[in-house]
Amino acid sequence: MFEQSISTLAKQLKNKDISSVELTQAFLKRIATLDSQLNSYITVSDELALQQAKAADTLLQSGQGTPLTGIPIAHKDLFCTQGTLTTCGSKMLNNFIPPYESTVTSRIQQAGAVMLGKTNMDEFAMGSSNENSFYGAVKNPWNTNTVPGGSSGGSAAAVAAGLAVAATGTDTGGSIRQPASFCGITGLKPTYGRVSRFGMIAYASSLDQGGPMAKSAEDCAHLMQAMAGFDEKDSTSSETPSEDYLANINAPLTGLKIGLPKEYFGDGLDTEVAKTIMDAVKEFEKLGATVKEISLPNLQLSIPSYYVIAPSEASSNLSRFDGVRFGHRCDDPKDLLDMYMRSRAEGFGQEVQKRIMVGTYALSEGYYDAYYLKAQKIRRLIKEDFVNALNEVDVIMGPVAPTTAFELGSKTNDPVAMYLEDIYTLSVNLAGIPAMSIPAGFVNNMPVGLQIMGNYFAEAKLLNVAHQYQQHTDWHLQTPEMAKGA
Amino acid sequence: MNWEVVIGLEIHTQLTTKSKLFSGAAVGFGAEANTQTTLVDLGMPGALPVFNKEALRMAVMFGHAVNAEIGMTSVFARKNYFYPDLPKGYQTSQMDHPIVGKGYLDVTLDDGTTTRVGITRAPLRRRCR
Repeated sequence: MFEQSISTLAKQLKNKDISSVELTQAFLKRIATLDSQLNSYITVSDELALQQAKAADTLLQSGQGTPLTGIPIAHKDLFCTQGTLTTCGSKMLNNFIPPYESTVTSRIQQAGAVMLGKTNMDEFAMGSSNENSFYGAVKNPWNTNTVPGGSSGGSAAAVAAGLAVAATGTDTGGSIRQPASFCGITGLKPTYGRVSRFGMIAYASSLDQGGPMAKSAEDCAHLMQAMAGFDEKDSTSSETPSEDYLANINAPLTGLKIGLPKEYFGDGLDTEVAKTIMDAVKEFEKLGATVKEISLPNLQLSIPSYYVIAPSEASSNLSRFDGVRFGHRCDDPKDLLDMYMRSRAEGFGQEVQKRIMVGTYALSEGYYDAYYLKAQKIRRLIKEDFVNALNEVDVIMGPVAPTTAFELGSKTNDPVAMYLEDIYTLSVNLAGIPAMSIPAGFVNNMPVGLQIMGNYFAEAKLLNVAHQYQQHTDWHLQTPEMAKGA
Repeated sequence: MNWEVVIGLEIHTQLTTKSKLFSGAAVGFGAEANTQTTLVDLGMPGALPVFNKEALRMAVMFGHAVNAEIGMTSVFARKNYFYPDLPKGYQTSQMDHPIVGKGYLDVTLDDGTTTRVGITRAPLRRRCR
């Protein structure tokens, strides 16, 4: 049951083979039994979930509903959920119960899905391993001595272990794609502006984007149906009409032109991972695609560019956390400045403090031009590389990460090594194009993700490409051992 | 020696829009506390600004009235600092590319002569007051 797709479950719910209440109870039981091994949830909202499940059953009785009605899913704890604790993985918000709902969670709720709870994450979305959470690290279900990836590590681990049918994540520099790769699930980062950021606690405003994480491209498409589209509450959301992401998902791939950037296959990429990616690409050739080498010459610049732009925007976005109106406030503040300083020093973890300082410095007088402005100029070059490449090919493929999931604690003392993990994902956010990670094989029994990047607003095409691969391979159907134990 | 006096005036003027520059909250002197504020004004996590088009129309009208260059592309930037009247920790203002640029106003003096007062720029800005 916990391995079933949304389509299958939707059929079972419609035919009354199972009720949403039964399905929800089954998942809540799995969470209670297995999550102590993973720590993927921060909040499990049992009562609310069962209420929503009952309402879903009523709707299904009368023959109404969408494919998502009654389906139990989890939300990354970065989305504001009205009346339910929303922490962003931080002590700063460990008491924050939003009186409002994010557009993403609201749309998914309106589509009838049931919320099992809020998933663990790197604090304020800053991290690539989910080791930066105030609520403790998340473990990878494939090997609990390793990281699930970050910052959407909780969502990835929960989906991989069958503790949610699907989940929402957010991706600023790879935070959906990298955990999807490490945990052997499917994740999609939509085009910047495709999904509303209202109520999605901001990390880097020009890079953040929310997206679906599930066991398959088809499941991700179901979530996109609900999530995508213009929102008047988010002025950066696009008025380009959203699509039916399932309509052409079965289209054949004959004639698909795939580009492989040579810079993605250089030093630093684990040889076994490289081989797995190339084997995956061969599968696409069998399906009628042609492959050519392309170049994204400014790839290396994406790391310094991102690690100036993102902390700069974050330093500004996180200024609102001052202990005044919500969130953590220090005890017995002496005066306003003392309250600001101690509340923030106590509320923010190390990585967050580091990035705020880097960002504040990069934006400060005398340095703004040399750092932030320069990084934005480099950003345009990176974007142009993609625009040029996508004139020659339909999609670009490559690895998501240089290795499979690394051991917990192995990179926490080397922040630069941690940042270098993001080399293949960052440029996508800088350019704003959409990209997916889909399971493509295993190296030493650990999952490897294939990255598929496309042109602006080409989510339907990416989902189609991924879906066809998943019709002809079964990597995405594999389940970690620990998930079978309940 | 001839001295020339140069006097600069920075004038803050509130536009008579029904709601604020970036939020739908009402504006009005003397209202009850906490009734004219929204998620955006309070800097709540995840809140996003939505621009008031009427403010743009008024700014452009003003620009035409003072013979000014209208910035067809204008940019809002954040001025970051901590202050009690700044829930977000930044002010949203226009710096390099304001909506209204260089203009002038010809003023008639008491003795019947006119003098031209130059206007450097008239950006839109959001403060918390």
